[in-house]
Amino acid sequence: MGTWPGGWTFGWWRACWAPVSGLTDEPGGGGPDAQRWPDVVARYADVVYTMAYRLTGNDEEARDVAQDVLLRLHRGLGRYEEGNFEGWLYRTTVNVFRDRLRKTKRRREDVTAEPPHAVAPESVEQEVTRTELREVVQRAISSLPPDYREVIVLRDIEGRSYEEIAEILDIPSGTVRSRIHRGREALRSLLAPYVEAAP
Amino acid sequence: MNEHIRSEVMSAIVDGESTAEERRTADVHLQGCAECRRALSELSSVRDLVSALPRLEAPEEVVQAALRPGRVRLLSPRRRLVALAAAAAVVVSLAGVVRPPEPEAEPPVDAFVARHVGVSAGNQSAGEVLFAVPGR
Repeated sequence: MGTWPGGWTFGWWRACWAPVSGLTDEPGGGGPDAQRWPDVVARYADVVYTMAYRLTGNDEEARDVAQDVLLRLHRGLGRYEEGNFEGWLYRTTVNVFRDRLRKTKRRREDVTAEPPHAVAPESVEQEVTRTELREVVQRAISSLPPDYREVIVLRDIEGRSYEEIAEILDIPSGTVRSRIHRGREALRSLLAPYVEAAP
Repeated sequence: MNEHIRSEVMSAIVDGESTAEERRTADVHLQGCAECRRALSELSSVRDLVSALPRLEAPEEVVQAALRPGRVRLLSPRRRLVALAAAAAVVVSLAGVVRPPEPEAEPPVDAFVARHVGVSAGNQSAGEVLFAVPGR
């Protein structure tokens, strides 16, 4: 799940860029240039906002984080050299999230209503119960310590591998493994009524 | 006796991130251990609940701000309020600095002196009392 076609290898991000029309970089050039910025925004605004919302659990904070991340990406794009664009994007998002956490100190437990999502839902009734469940799950994620939240979001929302997460967060993959395990154990008890064991 | 699978390994198995050796050992153990099978399936259900959360749509305001990164950033309603409050606080504190000083209150020196003179006229002065040498 969520593994990019090119795998996590040097230049694999080329494979990620390719599907967006006109977003391949110039031959021999550095990374995507600032001219392509609208394409970057079109492609990644939802990714950044989703990750920001899953980390903060709050629409207002997610907007602020997403705006900051996109601003930093835009500022860094000129200096961006060939490498792992999405890794950079995830790292920037985590850094902005941590900065805000440090600044605001107070723990915001107030999970706001699930914002509209990118893919249209099927039926209204189905959607109501699903929205409720999503809010429960989001509240559980938001109550995790930030370290666990980061790895769970990168793993289960963004579908990154342990190795990729280790690289994004600059921690050993053994640490990724133990954080994911602790985060998931915490979620298991928080979400106990919704957790099903196969017979 | 077959040891239970460590929870950390179970989470890795759910993610397809366990080593081949771990997986082999776990498979053998799972055959005869309902408890571990249950734990594994619960962890997998937790993973499913989280990964079922949808991709969200970035608010138009965020997209627009990103497309004009040179412009002044839009502030969220709460931040706008904070900024307004801060501006008001600055105005108030400046008002305190700029306000013309009130005329200095002058102590009623004359009245004070007059009263003291009156008191010490008939008695010893304060200095005489303080430095009086016994027996003098």
